[in-house]
Amino acid sequence: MDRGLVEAAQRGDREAYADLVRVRGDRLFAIAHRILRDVDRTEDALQDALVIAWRDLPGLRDPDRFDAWLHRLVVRSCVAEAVRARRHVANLHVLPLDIAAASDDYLSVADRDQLERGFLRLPPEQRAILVLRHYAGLEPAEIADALGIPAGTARSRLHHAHRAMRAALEADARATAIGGSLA
Amino acid sequence: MSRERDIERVLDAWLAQGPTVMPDRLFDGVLDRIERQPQRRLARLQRRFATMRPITIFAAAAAIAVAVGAGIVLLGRPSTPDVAAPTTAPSVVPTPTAVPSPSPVAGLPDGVAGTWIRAPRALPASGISEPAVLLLDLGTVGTATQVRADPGTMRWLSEGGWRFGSRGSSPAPGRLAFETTLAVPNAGCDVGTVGEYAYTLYDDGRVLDLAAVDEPCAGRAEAYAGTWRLRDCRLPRSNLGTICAGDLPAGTHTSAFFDPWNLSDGAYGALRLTVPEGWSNSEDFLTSFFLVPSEEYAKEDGGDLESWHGIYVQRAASAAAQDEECSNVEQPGVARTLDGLTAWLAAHPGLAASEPLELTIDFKRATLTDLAIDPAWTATCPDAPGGHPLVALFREADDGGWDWGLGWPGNQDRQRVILVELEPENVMLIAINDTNSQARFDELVAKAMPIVESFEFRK
Repeated sequence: MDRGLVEAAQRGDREAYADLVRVRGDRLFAIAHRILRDVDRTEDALQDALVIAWRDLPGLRDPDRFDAWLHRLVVRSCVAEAVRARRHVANLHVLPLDIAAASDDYLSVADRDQLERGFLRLPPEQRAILVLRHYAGLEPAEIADALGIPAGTARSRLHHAHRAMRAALEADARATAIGGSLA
Repeated sequence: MSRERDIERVLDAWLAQGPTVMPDRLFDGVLDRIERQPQRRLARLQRRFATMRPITIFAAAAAIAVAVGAGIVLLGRPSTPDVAAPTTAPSVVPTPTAVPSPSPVAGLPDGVAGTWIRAPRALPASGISEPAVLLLDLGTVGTATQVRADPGTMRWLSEGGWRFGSRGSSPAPGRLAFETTLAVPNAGCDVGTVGEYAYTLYDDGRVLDLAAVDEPCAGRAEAYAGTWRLRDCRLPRSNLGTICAGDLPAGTHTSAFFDPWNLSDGAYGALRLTVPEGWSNSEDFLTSFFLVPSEEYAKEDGGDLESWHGIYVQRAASAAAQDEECSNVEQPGVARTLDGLTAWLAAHPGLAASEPLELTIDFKRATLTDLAIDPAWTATCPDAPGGHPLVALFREADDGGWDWGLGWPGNQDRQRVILVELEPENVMLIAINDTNSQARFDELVAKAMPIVESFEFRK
C-alpha cells in the first residue's frame, strides 16, 4: 500500500495522485471494461471515477483503505454508466451454449457472443460482483469491502449473480430456439 | 461438477479475455481534469443515507458523455421534435458581452469554455436524421475537442460507427477555430480540416452564439453553428455530469433529458412546466428533475448539501425496503401502483402523515401526503451522522437508480409527497422538501404548488 502517496495526495499533491493512478490504472481499466463491455463507456466511467476520487480524497479517513475505496468509486461509476446503456443491448442472432457440457475449449466466438449478451442482461450491480469475483479474484469479504456492503450480503449477491447469469444464458438459448424457428 | 461450478469456470475463462491496459489518453484526461478540480476539504453534513438521493450515481453517468473534451453529445431524441428549446428566449434583448481574451492555457477563451446545451435538431450531413439534444463541451480538456453523436441510443458510439473530434483554439478575438483530429464518415471532415467560427456571448455569458465563418466540414457546421445556453450544474458531483439549465427565466420550460416513461436514453421534452422568476433547474437527468429557488442554488458550490429545499421529481417510484442496512432494494409486498404506494405511506409507523388527498396533474391521477418523522420513531441508517431518525421511503423501481427518504440532522425534515400515476405501474414521485423548519417548508409549499400544478407530461 502506498500510504505515503495517499497521504500526500490527500494534502493536494497531484503528482502523488498521478502516481497512485498510474500504478492502478491498468487494473481498474480492465475491471471497468469487463463490467461495461465498451471502451468508450469504460474510459468515461473510469475517468469520472478517478476525478471524483481526487476531489473526495481528503475525506478518506483511513489511507490504508484507499484501494477498496477507489474500487467502490469505479464500480459505482460503471454501474451508473451501465444503467444508461442498459436499454441498448443488442438482441441479435444468438447461438446456444450448453453450460452443463462446458469444457476448457468452450469459449468459441459464438459462445463468447452468447456470454456477452447474457452478461449484459444482468443488472449492472450483478455484473460488477461477477467481475470483482471472477476477474479481480476478490473473495466475498473483499467484494463486500469494495462495495461497502456486509460480507453476508456480498455472498448472497454473488450467488444470485451466478444464478442470474445462468438464467440469462438459458433465456438466450430459448430466444435462439424461437428466433430460429421464425427465421 | 455442479452447475454453480460450471458457470464459475465459464466466467473465469471469459472474463480473463479483454483489454488490460489503460489508454494514455485516459490517464492524460484525468491529469488534465484534476488540474482544474479542487479537492473537497470542508466537512459538511452528509446526505441522509449513504446511497440516498440520486445525484451521486447518475450525475456521474451523464458526466461520462461529456467529460472527455470539447464536443457535442446528443443525449436524447425528443418525442416531439417541435417542442421549445430547454430554456425560453431571454426575456430581454440580449446584450453582447465583452469578448474575453484567449487563454494561453486552455486555448479557448475563458468565457467560452464549458458545456453548452441546445434544443434538439437533426444532423443530416452527419447521417443523423432524427432530432436529438445537443451538448457542446468546449475546452474542458485543454484544447482537445470531441464530438459524439447519439440520437438516444449511444449504440453508434459503442459500435464505433460515428465519432468526431477536433482541437479547439482561438485564432483571434471573437473567433474560434476547430481542427478535425478524428475523421467523421460522410460529414466532410477529414483529419486536419480547420473550421473557423465567430462567437458572441450574451446574457452575462450564459448564451453563446456560434456562426460559421469558414468551415469546409459540413457536419461540424450544422452541429456547432447556432445558439447555445450554458449548462449550469452545482449540486454534489453533478458538476461532472447531468444537465442543469440553472437559473430559469419566468415562463414555460421543458426538460431536456428527464425520461419519466423510461423510454430511451433521455427524452427531450417529457416534462413541461411553468415557473415564476426565481427558480433554477439544478438537475435534469434520466431519472430525476430538480427545481430549487435560485437563492438556494446560488449557495451551492458542488459540495455536499447542507439542506434540501426544493421540488425533487423522480421517475418510477417503488417502496424502499425497511431493513436495518437501508439497502437500496424494494420492499416486498408493496404494489408499484398509486394506490399501493399511497396506502403504504399512510400506514408507515415511522411517519407522521397527513390524510392523503386525491388530485390530478395534467389529467393524471395523483395523491398528496405531507410527511414528517413520527416523534416516537428512532430507527436510522448506518451512515446517518449522529444516528438521527430516518425512514427509507422510495427507490427507483427495477433499477434502484435513486432512493429517497425522510430524516435529516435536527429532525426538521418535512416533505410533501405527490405521487402521480403516469401508467398503472409507473408512479412518479414529486417531493416538495425542506429540511430546515416547518415555517420554511410551508413557505416553500406555497411557492412550489403552482409549479407542480403546471406540470405536463409528454410521452
